[in-house]
Amino acid sequence: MKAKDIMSPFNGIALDPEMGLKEAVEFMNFYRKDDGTVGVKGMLVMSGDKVVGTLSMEDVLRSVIPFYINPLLSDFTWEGMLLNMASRMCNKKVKEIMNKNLIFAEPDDSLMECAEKLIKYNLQRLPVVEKGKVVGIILIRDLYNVVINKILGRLNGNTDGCGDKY
Amino acid sequence: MEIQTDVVINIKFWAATAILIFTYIIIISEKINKTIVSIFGASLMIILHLVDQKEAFYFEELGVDWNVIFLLISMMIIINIMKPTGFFEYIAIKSAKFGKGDPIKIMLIFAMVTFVLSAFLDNVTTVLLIAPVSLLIADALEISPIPFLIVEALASNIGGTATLIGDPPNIMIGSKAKLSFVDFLIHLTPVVLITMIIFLFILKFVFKEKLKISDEKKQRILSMDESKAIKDPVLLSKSLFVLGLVLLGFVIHGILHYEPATIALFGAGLLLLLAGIHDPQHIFSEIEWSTIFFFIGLFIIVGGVVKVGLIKLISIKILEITQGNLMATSMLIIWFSAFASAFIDNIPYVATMNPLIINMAAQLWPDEKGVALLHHPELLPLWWSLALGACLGGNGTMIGASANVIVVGIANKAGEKITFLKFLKYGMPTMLLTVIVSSIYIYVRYYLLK
Repeated sequence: MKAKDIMSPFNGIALDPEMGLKEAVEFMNFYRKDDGTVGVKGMLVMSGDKVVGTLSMEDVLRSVIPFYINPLLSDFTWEGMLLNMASRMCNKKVKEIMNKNLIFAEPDDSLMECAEKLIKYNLQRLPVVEKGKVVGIILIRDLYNVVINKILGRLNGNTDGCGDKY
Repeated sequence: MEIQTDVVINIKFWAATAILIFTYIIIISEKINKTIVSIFGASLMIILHLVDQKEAFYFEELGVDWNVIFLLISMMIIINIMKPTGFFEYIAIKSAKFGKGDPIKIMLIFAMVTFVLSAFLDNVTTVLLIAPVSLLIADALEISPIPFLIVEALASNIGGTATLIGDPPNIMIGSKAKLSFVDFLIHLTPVVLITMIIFLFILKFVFKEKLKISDEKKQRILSMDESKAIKDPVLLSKSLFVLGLVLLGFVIHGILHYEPATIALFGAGLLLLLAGIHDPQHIFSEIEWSTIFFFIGLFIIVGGVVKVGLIKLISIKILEITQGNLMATSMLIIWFSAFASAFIDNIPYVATMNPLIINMAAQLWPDEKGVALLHHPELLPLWWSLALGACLGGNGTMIGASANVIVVGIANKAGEKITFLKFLKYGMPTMLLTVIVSSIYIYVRYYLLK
């Protein structure tokens, strides 16, 4: 199996870097996925057909933590500080908060390569890019499913899970 | 006054001079990292035989001043071991609570804390420790952190002037002029304390308009428990013990006939041993090697121009201008140094001025040698003028001292812009005030009451 075998095809839905954070959060919250469920936890940020970043729950949460809070100062916060800091985010734009560290997979990358990237860079979703164009997205859940199916011995009808020797 | 010059102006003279000028111009232009420029310039000096490798590596007059290098490295090691104990955060939170959540009081207390810390630690370390707490306090009180940050940079530069180990120019002057920690305490600390007190009064006056802060916001600070800052009480007591020992060692290093670097190196070695660190690599990797190599390169470059006689030639010219009037020379040095360090790095400046002053002394008193020459009673005010001008001048502009550059960077990260003019509004009056007070001090103490 390769990246292209487990990725969900890219449907062209993305955030604009100039979008306000409020608008972006609403857009993600009310976005109806292909399976009919509503709300996504993150999206690609694209300028034209070029990926410029990703925005996820983690990025929003990270942005409300002031940069000066280090492990030596983390005990010195006050009740309501998180809300104080969150209220400062109202007028921010997507481009100010998004994760600009662009990590991609290619369609023919091995699943191990994809798993390694997701874990190493602490990502939830990995865009799959072919010739500069996004063709799909691998969610951390997709890879997790591959692994647990193996552990549970459910993959491709095989029964060589953890119970069997080799 | 007629002075004979035996400086031979040949191709080597011009080559060394050109290297010095080009390196300094590139450093000022900030087009290339200053450490890279300094190391490359130094290597050119050696490869072109303007100074031999042996002279550059081993000669006190022409090469690397290892006393400065080991003092800096050792103090960095001690601080790097001490930082994670949370001691500095403890002091800062405790100070903020002592100010009862009142912004002006906290600003003045933070200025004093920064002043004291930077007299013993380097200024950049001090502002890096105090600035994050200031941002936290400003957020808790919902006020702008900018005045705090600027005042702290200014206080750190003033505090650094107070002792031999407070600021690199003083370390360099102390080493080159063979002046002890106590010499600095006797001659510089009093005037620096006076300027700091005046600075605090002016701050109080400038910021007299009381900001209305609700009790609820003050309570945010008062309810912080500073004891939570201490992450490693055992390491903290070991660190404080060693730091105390090092400070005591500095005070008596003259009597014990140890160089300050020996004292600091002993402290670093002892703390590394006591801290029970298995692999000291991470402590060493936090040493600011870039600064250390900047020094190493500069020492070699300056060694080159000393060897070819450029420094001697300039010293003769200065004596011609001032006609050997040392009071005029003192005043010229303090004011020129202040304005020079307001715009350029005071480290290369002092590296060049040190041999210049020694050369002037050699012209003036040809019969004196060694410490007798360096400590000639009429020469001493020149050293103090250089120290005061070079250190206090750093306050003049946003680029005058590393501490200033650091707070501007931190403010920027916090989304608050400190412009060149904004810093100048605080910095230049502070520089002028402190240098005027220092000039009066030099005049009264060393010339009027002589």
